[in-house]
Amino acid sequence: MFTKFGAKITFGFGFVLLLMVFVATIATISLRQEYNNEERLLHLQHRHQNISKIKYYLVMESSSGRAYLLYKEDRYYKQYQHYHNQMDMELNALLAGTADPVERQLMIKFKELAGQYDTIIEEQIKPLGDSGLYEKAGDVARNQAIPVFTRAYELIDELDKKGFEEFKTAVTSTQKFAKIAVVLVPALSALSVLIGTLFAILLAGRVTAPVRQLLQGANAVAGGNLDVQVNIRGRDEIAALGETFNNMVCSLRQQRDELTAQNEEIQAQEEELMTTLEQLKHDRSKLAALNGFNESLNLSIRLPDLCDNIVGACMREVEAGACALAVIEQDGGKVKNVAAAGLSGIFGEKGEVTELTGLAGRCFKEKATLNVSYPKTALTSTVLLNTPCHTAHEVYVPVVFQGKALGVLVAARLDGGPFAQEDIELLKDMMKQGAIALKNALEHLQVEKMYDQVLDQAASVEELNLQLETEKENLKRSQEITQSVIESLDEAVVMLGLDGRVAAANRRWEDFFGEEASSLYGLSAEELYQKMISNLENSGQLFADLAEATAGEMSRGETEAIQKNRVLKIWTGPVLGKGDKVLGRLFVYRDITREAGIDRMKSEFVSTVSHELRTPLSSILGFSELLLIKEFNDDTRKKYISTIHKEAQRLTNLVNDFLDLQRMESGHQTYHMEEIAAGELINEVVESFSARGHNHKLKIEASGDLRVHADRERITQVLLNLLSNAVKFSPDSGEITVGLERDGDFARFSVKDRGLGIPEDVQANLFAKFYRVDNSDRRKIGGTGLGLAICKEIVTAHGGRIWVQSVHGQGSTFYFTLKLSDRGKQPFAKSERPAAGSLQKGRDPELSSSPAAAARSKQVVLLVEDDASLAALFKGHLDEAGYQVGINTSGEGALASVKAVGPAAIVLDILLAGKLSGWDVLSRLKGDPDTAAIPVIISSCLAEKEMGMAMGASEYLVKPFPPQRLVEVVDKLASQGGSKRPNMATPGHPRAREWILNKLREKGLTILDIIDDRDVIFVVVESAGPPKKPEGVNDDQ
Amino acid sequence: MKKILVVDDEIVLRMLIRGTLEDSYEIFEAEDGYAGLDLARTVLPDLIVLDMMMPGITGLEVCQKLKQDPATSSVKILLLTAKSQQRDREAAMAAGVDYFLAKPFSPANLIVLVGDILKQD
Repeated sequence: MFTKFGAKITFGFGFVLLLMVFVATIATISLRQEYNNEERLLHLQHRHQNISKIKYYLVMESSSGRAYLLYKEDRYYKQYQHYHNQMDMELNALLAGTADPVERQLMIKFKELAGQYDTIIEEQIKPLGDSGLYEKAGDVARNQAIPVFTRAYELIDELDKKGFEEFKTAVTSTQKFAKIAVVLVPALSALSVLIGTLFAILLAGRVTAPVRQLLQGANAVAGGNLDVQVNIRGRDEIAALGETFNNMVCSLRQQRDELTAQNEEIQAQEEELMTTLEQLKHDRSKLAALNGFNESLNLSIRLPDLCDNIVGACMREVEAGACALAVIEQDGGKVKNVAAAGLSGIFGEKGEVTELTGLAGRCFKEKATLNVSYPKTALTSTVLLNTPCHTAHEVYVPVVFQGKALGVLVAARLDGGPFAQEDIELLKDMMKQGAIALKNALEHLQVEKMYDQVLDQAASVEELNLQLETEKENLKRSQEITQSVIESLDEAVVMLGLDGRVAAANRRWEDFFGEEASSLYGLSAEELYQKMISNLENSGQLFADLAEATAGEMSRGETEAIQKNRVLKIWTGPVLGKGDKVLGRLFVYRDITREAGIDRMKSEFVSTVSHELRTPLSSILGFSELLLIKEFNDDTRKKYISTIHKEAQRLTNLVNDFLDLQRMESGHQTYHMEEIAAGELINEVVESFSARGHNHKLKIEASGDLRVHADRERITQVLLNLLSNAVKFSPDSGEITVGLERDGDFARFSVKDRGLGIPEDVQANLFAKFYRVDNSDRRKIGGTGLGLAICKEIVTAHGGRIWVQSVHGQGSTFYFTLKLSDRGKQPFAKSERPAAGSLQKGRDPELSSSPAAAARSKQVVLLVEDDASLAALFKGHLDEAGYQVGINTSGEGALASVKAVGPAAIVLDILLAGKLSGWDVLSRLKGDPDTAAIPVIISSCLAEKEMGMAMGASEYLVKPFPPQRLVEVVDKLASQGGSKRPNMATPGHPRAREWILNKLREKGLTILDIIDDRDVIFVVVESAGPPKKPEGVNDDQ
Repeated sequence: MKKILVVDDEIVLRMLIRGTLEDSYEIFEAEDGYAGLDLARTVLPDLIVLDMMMPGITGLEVCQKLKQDPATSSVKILLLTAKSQQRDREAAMAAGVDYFLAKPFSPANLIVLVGDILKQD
């Protein structure tokens, strides 16, 4: 029974067991499969994380690189390196975990690109950055790094996508297996239970209770209750079955628990994977968006374009209906809307000054992202800048760079749902990147502005440079001028600086002190004085004066330094700069030798004149007084009186000389130029000079006679002066030679003596007025010191030259030249004039008995002189000379007798006793053709020679004059047989003209007009009374 | 009879002084300073009438030398000067001049002056 039953049971049980095994196998296979799938999913997930990180690092790497270029700060470069290393590690991990050759290949390629990118950064951009060439580095980044980056990004994205696909497949298969396992295992279990139940029913009879028990258990199992346990006692198969059942249930339970747990886990994993998938999807699109955004940021560095790009990208990425961006620059208290894009009017026009208010303002100030939604009913207006906007949802994202808000981005949706957190996050991320680009663009703007400013500045610097150059040039020129002026000064100039040492000196110093000015630099004042001492004659006094003059910083003074042949005036005073600031001390040395000499000469002259005047005055006054107060015998009295006379004459000469010189110097001297036979003149002068009484032998050496154009009387004066000097300065007598030679167009006169001679050093001054050689030695000789000065004036006025040759101790020769007259330049006929011979002292007895003297005795000289004693004196001399003399005491008498007498000459006084003056007489004589030719000699105490000569006088003698002089003049004029003077008054002289006009008026004529024609004046007159022909005037009316 | 030495380069002035004073005094003449010094030492006059402006050695120098020489230092000196300026007088006083007489001078005054000077002794 047991066997049958056992067999049946064995069979039935075996079948059930088989089923069980089958179910267990399926479950096991399912579990294994499940496990394998799970691993694969984990792997894929891990790989995705890897790739995500790589992507993240790649993007961050690029951002850091950009930040590095923008901020030029190494920490961004370090950041870059950090991200790069992280990426490298991730990549290596990825490679290690990847067996698929295709994927490996892609990854290796990515690694190469990443390496290439890194190489560009490390080897090109960084070195450029280190050298400060950020601009260039930026170019390299744009041109080289970014393309590589883009390719790398695409590659990793591809890998990511691939992984994602795989992951999706794996998840699907896992789900399939899980479903199979969930359905199959309970089904098979139920089947086993069913078969077991059937088997139990078969055994019901015998094994009812255990079977029932089993059945109940099986039912319970079949009902899904695996917590049942059967309790069958015995040792039979049923008991065994019960045990087995229990074991099976236990096993099933265990399996079920396990499966349930696994299923739950799988579900959880699935959920998680879905989330991850979603996340990945989101991440990928976010990364793609960021990457696209990143690229758009690179398109332009210009702020407006950049703003447009950002706004455009934002609108796209978050599907906003409107978007706006305001870039704000806070400049002081004002907010400047530098750039804006998007909805016009949201932030106002670009550049407008806008106060950010409301949410935008809050977002900007707090740097907070704000997400607001408005109820549909409140859509007419938002708080945004009071602009009507039909927005339903708005997101305000601050653009923040390094903690500073740069602006605000607003995205708005009019319709559709509110902004998802992802959108907001994306916007925030975009703004993080955008902030860099905006900052970059702002900086660029700033740089451009600065560049413009720099260009402007460069231009103005250029202009300033030009000005500076011009100024420099001017300064240089003015310095040169100043230097030249200082160097060209006639004074020596030395400046001591504030340190008391010589700071500057000009060349003139060398002329005065014989040492180069440069040798003075750096010397102290004392050393400077030492340099002066050696050639000074009054150093003691000088230094005392200088010490006083330099006592104070501001003190000034001047003193004289006397050198051997020079007098220097030294002036010293402070050098004052701007604001009278003392810069040093100036010494100016001026050569005042000339001035000092002139001063000395003047004072000597005054003293000389004073002495010369006082000496004769003392004699005249003294002797006359003596004669009055004391009695003397006749001899003594005569001696005294003749002394008085002589001294009075000396005084007269002095006064005359002095007045002559004064007149000549003031240009009032008139010269009556005529043609003169020079040899004849010399003879006359020597002859008259010989009569003056001296012991010298006079000799004439004339190579022939020459005709010169000169004033006879003045040249006579010159010759007499020279002769008188020659006599005076050869005190031991000796021969004096007067010479005449032709010298080109000039006649050269010479007067040679063998006397004292003149020291060479004073010869140059000899002709200077006021000058007298060696005052003390030669004063004994007398003279006014004016003779040679007068000579020089006369000769110079004639266009000639006067000079001296002299050897001290051996005598002197004075020369002067006069122009030859035109006729005089012709060879002179010797027969015309007897050669001059030598004249001995005194009057040659032969001369007085010469034919001339014989002829003279027949000639009559008419004296018109009211001073009887004087008339007698002249008469005595003229009588002696062989003339017949007639005397008239009045002009009327003279005019009455003149025609009857027919004199050879008339000697006429001007101041006459009668009604007619000498002028009247002269005028009538010259006005009458019968008498006009008679030479008239005026003898007057009036010095009116000019007028006399102008009125037609032949000679003018100023009283007193030696009577012998009168005889000489009469001799000369009478021998010429008539006057050479014009036979009527020449009205050239103003006094003569005045006299003529007065005469006309006296005659009752009114002067209407005067026409001046050099020698003749035409006077237009109107007669008031009976017209009377005026005398002495060419009257055409 | 007291002795007067006249030192003047102008002969007419020496003549004038001689003519004025020779009745009462013995007159000696010198025509320049050197001769004057020599004569002063030999004659030892009571008074020297000295001209200021002379060739060679001036009256002042003559005066100085005379005053420096013990033999002649006590001789009274009357200086004839054309210069009457105060400055010249000071220089003359410093040189030891005792009396001044300005040219031109009156012989009558000279007689009185010389009389006064020589009476003091």
